[in-house]
Formats: sequence, C-alpha cells, structure tokens
Amino acid sequence: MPTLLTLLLLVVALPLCGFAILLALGKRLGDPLGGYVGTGFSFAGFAAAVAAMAAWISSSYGFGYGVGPLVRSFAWLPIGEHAGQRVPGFLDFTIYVDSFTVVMLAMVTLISAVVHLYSLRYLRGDARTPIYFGRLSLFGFSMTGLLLSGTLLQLLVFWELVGLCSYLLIGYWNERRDARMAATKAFLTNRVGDVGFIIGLCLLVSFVGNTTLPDLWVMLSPTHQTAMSNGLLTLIGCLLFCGAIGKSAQFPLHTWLPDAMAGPTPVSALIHAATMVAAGVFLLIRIDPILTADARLFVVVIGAITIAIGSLCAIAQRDLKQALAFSTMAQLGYMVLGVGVGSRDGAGFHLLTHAFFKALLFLAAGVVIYGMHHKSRLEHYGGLFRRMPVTAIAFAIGALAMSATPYFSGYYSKELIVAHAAAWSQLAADSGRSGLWSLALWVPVIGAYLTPFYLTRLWMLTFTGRPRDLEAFEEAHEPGMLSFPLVVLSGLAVVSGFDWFPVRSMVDSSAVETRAQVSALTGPASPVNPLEHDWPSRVHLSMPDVETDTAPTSTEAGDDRVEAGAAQAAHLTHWAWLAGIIAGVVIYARGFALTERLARLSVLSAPREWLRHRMYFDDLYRWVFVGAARLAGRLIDRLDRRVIDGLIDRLALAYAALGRVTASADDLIVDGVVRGVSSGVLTSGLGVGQTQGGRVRVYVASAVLMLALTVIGTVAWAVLR
Amino acid sequence: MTVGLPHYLVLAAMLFAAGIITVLTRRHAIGILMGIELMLNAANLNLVAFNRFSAVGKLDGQVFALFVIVIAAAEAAVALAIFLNFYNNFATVDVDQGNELKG
Amino acid sequence: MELLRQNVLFVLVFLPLLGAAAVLPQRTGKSARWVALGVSIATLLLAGLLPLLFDSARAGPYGYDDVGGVVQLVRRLPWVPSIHAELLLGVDGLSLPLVLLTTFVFVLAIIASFKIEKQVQGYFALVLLLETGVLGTFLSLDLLLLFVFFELSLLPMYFLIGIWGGPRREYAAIKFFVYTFVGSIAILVALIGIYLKAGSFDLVRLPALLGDLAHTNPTLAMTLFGLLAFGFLVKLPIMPFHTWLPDAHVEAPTPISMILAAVLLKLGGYGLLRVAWPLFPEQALAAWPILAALAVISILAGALCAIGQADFKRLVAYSSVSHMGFVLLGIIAMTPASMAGAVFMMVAHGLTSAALFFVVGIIYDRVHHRQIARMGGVGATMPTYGRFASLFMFASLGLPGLCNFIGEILVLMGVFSAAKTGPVSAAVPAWAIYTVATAAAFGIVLTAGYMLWCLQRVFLGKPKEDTATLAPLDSRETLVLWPLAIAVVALGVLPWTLVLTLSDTTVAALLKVLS
Repeated sequence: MPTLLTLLLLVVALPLCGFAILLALGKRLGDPLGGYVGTGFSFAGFAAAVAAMAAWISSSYGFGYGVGPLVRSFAWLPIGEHAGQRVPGFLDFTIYVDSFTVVMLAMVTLISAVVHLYSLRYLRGDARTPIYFGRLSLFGFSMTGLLLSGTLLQLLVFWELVGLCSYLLIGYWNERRDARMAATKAFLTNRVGDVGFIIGLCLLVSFVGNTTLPDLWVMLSPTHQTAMSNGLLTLIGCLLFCGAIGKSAQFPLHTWLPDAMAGPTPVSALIHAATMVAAGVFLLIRIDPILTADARLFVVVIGAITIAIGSLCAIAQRDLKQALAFSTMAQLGYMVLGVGVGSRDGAGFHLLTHAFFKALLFLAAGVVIYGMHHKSRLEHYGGLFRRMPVTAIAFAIGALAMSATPYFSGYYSKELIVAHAAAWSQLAADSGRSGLWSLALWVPVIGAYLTPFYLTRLWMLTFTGRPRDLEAFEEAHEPGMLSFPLVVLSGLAVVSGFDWFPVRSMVDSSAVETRAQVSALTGPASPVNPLEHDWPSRVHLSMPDVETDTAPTSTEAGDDRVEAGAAQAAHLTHWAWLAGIIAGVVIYARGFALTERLARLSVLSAPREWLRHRMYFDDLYRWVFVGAARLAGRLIDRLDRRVIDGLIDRLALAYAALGRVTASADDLIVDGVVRGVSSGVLTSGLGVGQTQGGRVRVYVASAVLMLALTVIGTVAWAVLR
Repeated sequence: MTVGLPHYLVLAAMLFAAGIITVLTRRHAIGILMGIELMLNAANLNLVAFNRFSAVGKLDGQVFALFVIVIAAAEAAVALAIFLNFYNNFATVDVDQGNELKG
Repeated sequence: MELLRQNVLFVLVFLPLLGAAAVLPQRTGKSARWVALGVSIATLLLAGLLPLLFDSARAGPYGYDDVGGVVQLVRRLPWVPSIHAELLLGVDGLSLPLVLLTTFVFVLAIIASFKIEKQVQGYFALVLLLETGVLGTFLSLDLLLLFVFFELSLLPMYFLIGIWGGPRREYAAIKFFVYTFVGSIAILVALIGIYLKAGSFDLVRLPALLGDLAHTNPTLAMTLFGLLAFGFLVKLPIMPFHTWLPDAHVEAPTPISMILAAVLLKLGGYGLLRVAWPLFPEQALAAWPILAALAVISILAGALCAIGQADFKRLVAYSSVSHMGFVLLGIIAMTPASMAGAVFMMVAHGLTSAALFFVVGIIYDRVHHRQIARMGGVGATMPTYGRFASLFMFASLGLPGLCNFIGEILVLMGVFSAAKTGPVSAAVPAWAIYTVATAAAFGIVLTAGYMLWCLQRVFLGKPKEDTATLAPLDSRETLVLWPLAIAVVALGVLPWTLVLTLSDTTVAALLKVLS
C-alpha cells in the first residue's frame, strides 16, 4: 500500500518538480537543456505511473484491481470543526483511485512524455523552450492531480489549473495575435462553463454539505436519494455537466477548440488527447452515478449536437489542424453521449483509445506542418507520401482507428458506445418515447459514416495527388526524432482496444470497484445499494410510464436490450468505415478538382461557406457576448462617471454654492455686526479724538462748559426737587 | 449801605469771570497767565472775605490766601519757563499753535 | 510572559506612532526611510508574535476571558470614565488575520516608498501614523476608541494623497476625505445613539446590552444599523458609494494605493463584522434584500466597469469594488463558510490588490502613463515582471491554488448554503438567495474577462513604441514582489493553516451572536 500511494504521489509530484526546476533555473538551463529536464521528469512520471499500475493490479490489500478503490481523506478546510458545526467530509482533500484513475494516469503520463519528446525537436531553436517545457510539466501536474481528485472541489481546483495551462500553452506564441486571442477565448469560454460547475458544486454543498465523490454516489443516487427533489438533482447534474461542456468543447461552448489550434502542434496533441478535453469527460464519468434520467437526456442532446457540428464542420475545413480539431469535438460528443446513455464504460474506453489515436493524428499533422514550414492549410499540401512515408502511414493508422475500422482500437470503443446508445433508444421506444431519444442512436450512426469520410479527405489531400505548393514540397522532410513518437503511438492506436491490453479491462473493473465502494459505505446489511441496478436498468426504471411489475427484472431487460442494441449497431455501422473511405477516395482522388466543380453549384456552396465559417458560432458569440460585455462596461463606466460621480460632483458644487451663500450671509450679518461695532468704536473714538485737539484753550473751555452745565444741572435738579 | 459779604463775593465772581474770559480769549501765553492770576486773586478775595465775615478771630482765610499767592508766584515761574521753551520750539507764544497734547 | 500578554497590543498599536515621532526629526531623507522601515519591520515581528499568544482552538462564546471567550489578550485602561469609554484593546479571529495583513503590507509599502523624494520625513511619519490608526481600529474593542482610530486613519491618508499624489491630487484627496468623512459622521451619530441606549462602548458586551432594542424600539435600531452600515459600506466601498475609490487610487502614489486597497478598504468590512452585524443582527436580516442587491451590483457592475477602463490603475481599482462585493456577500450570508470566506477574501484581496497596484506602479515608473492601449508586449521586454504580473492577475481572477479562489468559493458555497441553514434561511426566501448567489457566481466570468483582456493587451504580443525598451526590475521592486508572490501562493495552497484556523472559532462564536 505505501508503495502504491507513494508511486501515485510521485506521478503527481514529478511534473511539479519539473515545473519548479524549470521555473527557477529555466533561464540558466537554456534551450535544449531545459527541454531535456522537462522530458526527463515526464518520463519519470510515466515510469511511476506504469509502476503504480503494476502495483495496483497486483495489490493484495482491501483495494486494487477488481477489489475496491483506494480512498484517503485529509481535512483541508475544516471550517466550523472546533465549534462542532462541521458537516462530515466538508471540503476534505481526498484521493480517490480506482482502475480507471490508474489507467488514465498511465495514458496521460505516456502522452505527456511523448509530447515532451516530440517538442524537443519541434521547438528546437526557440529561445523560450524552458518556459514551454515548464508549462507542459505544469499541465502534467494539473491533469494527474485532477485524476486523483476525490472531491468535486478538489477536481475544480485542478480543473482550473488545467485551464490555466492550456491558456499558457495555446498563447505560447503570444506575439501572434491569433494565439493570444485564442488563449483568452479558451480560458473565458471555459470559465462560462465553470460557473455552471461552481453553482452545481455550491448547490451540492448547500443540500448535502459534501462534495466527496463516493459519499455523493451513495447519498444522491437518483433512485434512492431523499436529500432533494428529482428536479433539483437534475438541475445539479446539468450544472455540473456545464463544466464539462466548457472543458470538453461541447455545444454551445465549443468555439474555443478550433481556435486553440493557434498553439504549437504538440500542445494541440496534448490538449486534444490527454489533458484539457479529457478532463470534461472524466468529470462526467465521475458524476455519472448521480445523473438523473432527465439530466442524461440533456447530456445526450448536447453530445448529439456536438457530434453533428463537429462532423459537419470537419468536412469543410481548409486547415489540417482545424479539421482535426473538429474531429476531436465530434469524438468528444461520442463520449459525452456515451455517458448520457449510461455507457460509462464505453465513454471511458473511448476516452482512452481516442487519446492514443488523436495524439497520433496530431503529432503526424505536426510533422507535416513542421516539414512544410508551418504551413497548415490543405492547399499547400498534396503528394507528401513520397516525402514523409512514415508520417503518412501513421496518419492512416490513426485515421483508421478513429474511423472504427475493425481490429483497430477505435472500433471497439465506438461500437460499445453506439451499441449502448441503440439500447437506450430502444428502451425509450419501449416506454413509448421516441423523438429526442432516437437522436441518441441516429446521430452517432451518421457520425460514424462522416468520420472516415473527412479523415480520408484529409489524408488524400495531404499525402496523395500532385504537390500543390512545389517550393515547400521540395524542402519537405520528416525528422526521425519526430517520427519515433508516431511509431509508438501507432502501435498503441492499434492494440489499445484489444482485450488483453489493460484498457478495457481496467475501465470495466472501475465499475466493479465503484460498486464495492458504495456497498462498503452503505454497509452490507443495507438493502439499498444505489448502484446495484446498474446500467441501463436505471434509465429504464426512471421512465415513469413503464410498469415495473409487468416488466421482467430490470437488469435482465437491460441486458436484453444491450444485446439487441449491439446487434443493431453492428448492423448499422459495421461497414461505415469502408463506405466513408470509398467516398473520400472517390471525391478527393484528384485533389480539389471535383469539389471545386461541385462548389459551383449554389446548392452546395452555401452550406460549404456555412461550415467553413464554423456555422457562424464564433461571429455570433463575438457580437453578442463579447460586444455586450464591452458595451455594458463602457455604459456602466459612463454611468459611473456621469451619473453617480456627476451626482457627487454636483452635490459638491451645490454644497460649495451653499457655502458661498452662507459665507456671504456670514459676511453681511454676523461679521457685519462685529465690524459695525468695531468701526463704530473707531469712528467714535476718532470723533472723540478730534475734540482732543491739543489746544489748551479748548480744554479749558470745555472744562468751564462742563462745570457750568454741572452747576446748572445741580441747581436745576435742586430747584425741581 | 454797609459793604457786606455779598459785595465781596460779587466782586470776586466778576474778577473770576474776567480771568476765565481772559484765559479763553487771549491767545498770548502771558495773557493767559494773567487771566489765571486774576482767577487766583478772585479766589484769594473770596478766602479773605469769608474769613472776615464767617470765621471772626481766626486767620485761616488769610493763611490760605498767602499760600495761594506763594503758589501763584511759583506757578508763574514754572509757566514762564514753559513759555520760554514753547517759544524756543514754536517761535511764538500763541498757544493755539501748540497742539502736542492732541489725543 | 504575562507582562508580554498584557501589553503586546498596546505596544503594537503605538509602536508606529513612536516611530512617526522618531522619523520626523531625522535630518536626511535617507535615515528617515530606514527608521520607518525598521519600525514597520519591528511592528511586523511583534504582530507575528500574536498567533503564538492567541489560542485559536478556544471554542468559546463571543466574549472575554472571564467566560472563556474567543476575544483574547484583552487590556483595559481607563480613558474617559464619565462616559464609560476605555482604552480597551483585544484580539480575536476577525482582527488577527487583518492585523497580520496590515503589518505585512505596511512593510512592503514602505519599501515601495523608498523612491519618494518629496518631504521624506513627513511622508514616512504620516505612513506610520496611518499604521497606528489602522492597527488601532482593528484592535479596539471600545466603540469610541475604534471610531477615534478610524478617523485617525483618515487624516494621514488625506495628506498622503493630497501632497504626494498625481496631477489631480487635491480633487481626489478632498473627494476621498469628504466621502469617507460623511460615512464617519454617520458612524458617529450611530455611536452616540448606541451609547445613549446601552450606556457602554464595550463592543463585545454591547450585543447583550442592546439585545431588546430591536423589540422596544425597532425604528431606532434600524436607523442606527442603517447609519453604521452606510458608514462602513462607503469605506468598503460598495456601489453606489464607490466613486471616491478610482479617483483616490489613480492620484495616490503607488505605495499609498497599496495601503489604501490592501488595508483601508478592510476597515469597512471589519467594521461591518465587528460593529454593525453583532449589534444589530435582526436589522441586518431585515435589510438583507438591499444589502444583497448592493453586493451583487458591486460584483457585476464593478467588473463590467473594469472592462470599460482605459487606465490600468482604474481597472485595478474597479476590480477592488468587485471583490469587495464578495466580502459583503459573505458577511450578509451569515454561514460559517461565507463568513470564513469573507475574512479570507479580505486578506487575499489585501495581498493581490497591493501586488497589482505595485505592478501598475512599476510600469508607470517606466512609461509615465497608464493607458492600456499604448502598452503591449511588456512580458517580452520585462519577462520576470511579466511573470509576477500574470501570477497576481490570475490570483485576482480566482485561479485555484492562489489566494482569491478560496475566498470566492467559500463565499459562494456559504451563500448557497445560506438557503438551507443559518439565520438568513429563516428570514429570506430560498429563491432570492439562489438568485443572488447565481448572479454573483457570474462575476467570476467577468473578472476573468477584464483581467485576461488587460493581461493580453499589456503583457502579451509585440512590444509597442512605449514599451519597447524598459529597464528590468530593480532589486527594491523584486524585494516587494517576492514576499507578495509567496504569500499569494501559500495562502492559496494552505488557506486553513495560515489564516482560517485563526478565524474559525471566532466566526463560529460570532454566528451564535447573530442567530
């Protein structure tokens, strides 16, 4: 046990050490050395993750592969504990590890290590590489930390750090306007989703006082919880999902993903395969047990819309990376839809296989872009097979895997999702619902035909035909150091779907461990085990018009439906890869020739423009939200200055005016009296002074006069008495 | 008709009035001094007359009168000294020219 | 030891004042600077003793040692016996974090002030006088004494802005003074009213003494509460009483802006927590809709206003308005998490705003203007500076792992749980609480918006004409930035250990008074 925990902590700590060292010493290490340090730490992290996986599978303690999860809690913010006001588990720091975590850790560290290695060559000669590798390491730390998170709050912490890292890396070439705009856009769009996440989190805290995942699963399982109404739980589920909408680039917050292509291509590979967008699906898988049927419908609808947008837009993009970005979006739609229809294992499985082949595709695209001197538009390509055969083959393998070609990894995972989606829509049909519910089947099926088509288009336009940009073509090459990661990933893209490879089995085992954890929490005596009725019976049960007593036991009904769904899915999509590829080969056999001719038809050119402009979502958002915020800012600022400040200033002026009036009143009345007295005294004094003329005779005269008056007065007084 | 006290008093009053008028009207310093002498003599006359009619057998009035004469002499000496100075300062003995006492 | 416990607060409060007296007669500016720095560091070290002397685990009621209460290190001296006013100092979990913040920020502000060349002795004496005023306000438990210190902090600020400020300094200084003075008058009137009713100024005992005023004379109680709240809200500041803030900040010299944002605004929040709320809890509940509306307006409109600013410093100033909205929101929600969040937010904002104002000051020293539109690419010309600035801006927009996040998330969690528990849940309908909380939550998007937009325009991209060649950070600037950066990260990672463990029991005790 201590070994396992140490190894897991090492997986998180090693990238952090790499980041710290690069941050502190990056300038001294310089260009290649800093990269080596970062790469070294990332490979050490991968080694630790593999070792942890081995320890996990062979664990003989009360947790481990197929036994139960490893849960460790530490009080992080024990607010109110001293006063006895603490809710148990409130704001703990929890490590939750199950098989899914372990396999995700291995995948993330592997992709991260490969991307490090690839970046060494890709960014050679860039003076700021230590910064770049530091950010990559931070990215690895954030993502591994997220995977170990056992509470939603903790998840949010690492979630935001992942967002920060993608901001820093997308905007790495910040002297380019598109890069810095894209970085800001990515962060802000994610923030919008995060608001939903935070509100959901706060509602959870408000109602159950806890965000620890296993506790939530027990307390809030939709069929058994009593803490809140079903509608509220649906709301919480949808709000938490909002976070995933932002991170995993789901409609309507998907617009940042294509823009994020402004970052260096290895970063795109990392973001699209292992870290940023994977975080959203990971969250969704973690909160799957508390999603209600209505919340699931919401998730399914969003996923379906995203599949549609991603698949359609990918067809019309003129930029290799942009097209791949939309393909990522579509695949994320599959995963989200998968969680929605209750195919947690399918979504997790697809997340892992997708990581390998999407990293492969991006790194292959990176080789092309690097070889073509950072020209990423398809009109510069053509005929590159001769120049870069390894890359072409690797790209083809990735494309085949993603197209769900049998025996490639994507086939297994996507089939699982489509099968479960079919089962879900059949269950819905059983209970008299179709419409939106049937979307869950048809959109992924149509997407399955579009995926091979647009990937074939990319491959044909890039690697076959005549070179369209001869000058660049002549200098095109594929450096061996870039090809090596492609070989590794090609292998994984093929084998990661097989049963003997520890991906599918790990994902499946995670459900077993989750169940074990829940039983441990509720106690063996408790009849209530919210996860006992596992997928898809829960969906079935929560549909109100189904009479549970007339139906056979729900689990059996669900199993039937899964089998039927698998059959239907196989029937509908088994040859989709071939159909798509043939269509792609036929249409793009001669480069753009055929499509240019077709585009002259106005029926086709208008939708093409619409798709090229990404359905105008970006323009809409720019006008509506960004414009509104700036306008509001300016208006409020003006309000502030004119009205509030104006009022204050005017008050001050009025006050000053009043002051002047008072002052003059003061001057006239109060001061007037004072001055009147003083001037009266002065005048009279002067007047009296006049009499003191200094002339002796006047003195004498007045003395005589006064004497005379006194005498006369006295006499008169005496007489009158 | 016998000469009684009222006659003396009237004479003294007339003398005094003449002195005052002299002091008030004369601008010549010596003239004013003379007026003062007149007033003093009027007082002396009164003193002697009151002694004759009211305090028979006593010499109080005469003694007072003698004192007044002595003081008047001293006063005249001082006054003449002042006038001399006055003259030195103003080159005149017109008292209206001297208003140094002006307040 | 006992001697230390008895006198430490008095020494702490009056040490800067003595320092001010020592600074004034200095013959050269240089020695004045070093004396001021020495005094402020001594104050910081003394304040650093307080967490050791303070027993944060004592989970008593809101009272003194005689009831085993949370208010500790109390010292009373007679002052004006005829009106029962005392020199009464004490410390609890509300004031302790703020005292630490104050002493910390003052040291940094004094280091940042070393460039001041005009009337140096007077400047540093006023700064130290200000520190006494602020520390006195935080540590006074006598309402009259608190008011005196509160006013004492006002006056040095007026001169510091009015003499050492920018081109419109007189306007700004007078505006600042008049604005906050009007607030002070409101507090003074309330203070007199409280004394006439309760016959005491003892803040810890007043809640009990005023207990039945709410029932015997509700109008008077409401009036007194309104006056107190107004006085402290102006200081906080809360929209629409905030317009003194941008002007004061823009005109004030950099170190004074740091102090103003980091410490002086906290006087408002502290006043609400120490005076207005415990004395009139029922009135606070009755005024909930208005206060909540003001808080939300401050958060949202403050952030929108910041988006609309062309001046870097004004932008940071408006961010303060927005963040202080969170503080008010946390205070009015009256739950353990929200109150802890409000206290933490005050400390966190103290650090980030001081840091951001210093960041603005650094660029202003080099390009001599603050127009965002004329800057660009500073991150390329001054890489270290760019990294510090980004750190503080991300801290300010609430990135987890950095300090403001803890404050914001605790406040939001607290406000949401106020709908279920605590005094507010009984008095206010749940939908209103949820509306307020949701609206406030959107503040974090807007905050991210203006911060990132500003970051992008100032620090990213190609350097513009004004910012093409800039001198790198000098050692003095680095010396200010490093402690702030460390504190910002440390508080984000260990919020409990560093701050909340101090305030926890006090918040719990205060909540008992409030409910």
